[in-house]
Amino acid sequence: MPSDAAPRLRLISGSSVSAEVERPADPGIDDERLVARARKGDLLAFELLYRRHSGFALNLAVRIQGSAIDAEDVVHDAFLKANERLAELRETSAFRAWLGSIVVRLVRTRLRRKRLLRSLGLANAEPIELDAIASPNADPESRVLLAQVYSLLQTLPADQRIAWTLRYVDHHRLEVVAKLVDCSLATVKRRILRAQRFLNEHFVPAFAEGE
Amino acid sequence: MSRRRLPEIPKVALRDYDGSEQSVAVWRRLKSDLRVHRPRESRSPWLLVSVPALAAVLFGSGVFVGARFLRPQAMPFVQAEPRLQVAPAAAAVPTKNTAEAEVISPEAKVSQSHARRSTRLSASAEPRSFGSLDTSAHPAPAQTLTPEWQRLVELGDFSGARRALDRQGGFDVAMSHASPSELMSLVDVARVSGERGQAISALRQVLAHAEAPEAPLAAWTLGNLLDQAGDQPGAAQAFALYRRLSPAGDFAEDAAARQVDVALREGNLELVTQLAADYARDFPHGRRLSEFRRAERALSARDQDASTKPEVVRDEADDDSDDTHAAPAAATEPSTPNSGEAH
Repeated sequence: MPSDAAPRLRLISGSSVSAEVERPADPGIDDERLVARARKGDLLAFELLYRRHSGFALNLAVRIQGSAIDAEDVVHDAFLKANERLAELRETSAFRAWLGSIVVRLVRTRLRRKRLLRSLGLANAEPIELDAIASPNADPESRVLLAQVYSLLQTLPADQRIAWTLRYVDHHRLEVVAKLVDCSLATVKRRILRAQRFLNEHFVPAFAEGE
Repeated sequence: MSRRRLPEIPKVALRDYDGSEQSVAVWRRLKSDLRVHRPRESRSPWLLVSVPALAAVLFGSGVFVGARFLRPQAMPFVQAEPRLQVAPAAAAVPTKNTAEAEVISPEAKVSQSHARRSTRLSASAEPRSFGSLDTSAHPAPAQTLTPEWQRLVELGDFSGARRALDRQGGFDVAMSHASPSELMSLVDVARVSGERGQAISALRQVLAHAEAPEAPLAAWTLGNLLDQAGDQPGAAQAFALYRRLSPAGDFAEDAAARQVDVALREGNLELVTQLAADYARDFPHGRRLSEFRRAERALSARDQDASTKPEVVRDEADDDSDDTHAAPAAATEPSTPNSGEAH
């Protein structure tokens, strides 16, 4: 799949996976302390965690699904689950990555259920909400690109779609994607590669070169 | 149109939901649900180890007792062997003893490595109590220094922590030599037991350590508690302090908004104008910007009406009690006097 324009799979070594996913938003109290306090039932600490990471969770849900339908429910359920299972989180500083994996799991379940219902003729294909994915300031080329990519992604199996979206839409490193989807690096690369091949084969540019 | 390789999707083309309305809406729902769902208790891996160990110990004890009473002639051999085998297993049996109890119990002899292991585990939040230790060789390890109330707080037992505090000299004694982190735990204990005054005192003591990472959270919590106590100026000061300690903090926008709220409740137009301008400058896309502008205009109009109306007219208006209807809800709320509790 060599091409100048195409995104490529590559191995990135070096810093820890959580370093990219973990982002200290507040210079004050860190996630580790907040998780410790939230474990004791401190609602304020959990609110602080929510404020830090809810944007990340919403972005993940909307970008993987390609629509904002139920994205709020997914984030709500993810934080509720995170709160219930906070005691099970071993690496407390990696709250963000852990939350991301919960969001991804919830979205994957939802996508699979929808796909099954569609195959049984019990549900229609969900529309792609371009306004939910694209920024209001996005240029027309980007909007067209997103619309076409998401319509192609809808036809892919959930696992391939999720892995590709996390890598090339949400721009996570491969190690991070592996952590978020909770599988090995090799599996992630295989899924992304398959999705990339499919997209390369079926993608048709809307604007001619130089246009 | 020809088929071509997929171009890269630029990051700037994607919508960012950080601090979005959806995020706020989800939190409203989540907050009420969180009050219903409590976090699960930690499921310790030691529990998984301890059950088979306990079974092994019980079995071993049964064999030992049986051998002792049923075959007295074999006693010397039976007595010697199980002790060597059983003692390490017994060291892994969790009991309901407290840390202090485990230290003073002088029953079994275990090796120095077992003692070190137990001490290390006790220092963490894991359930401790690994049977009895030989205290003569290792007197009073670190866990005896952890006060009982703090251990109970770690386990989420706030009412138990309160009782332990009362037994160990009271809240103020504990507060006098507590670190900022311990003070925040004391705040939790005080809040759960409904002692707002004590919580406020502990928060003020945290704020004495302005460099502590807990200080911004303490300022924010103090603002909320003082607001609830009716000490509006104190709450405004605490919110202002939060903004100074953590200008880019997660609650920075809310703290600025709460300062404006307090000024609105006091009906202080000059302060409202200044604080609303600060809010607009620091948070140009702030969620409450339009609300503050409306409230500011209404407050300004009300002040102008009050200054231009002749006294007779104002008296009539007072009689009818209608003159406040035009003012915004926030501005017309009666300003509550200082409670005094906060200071």
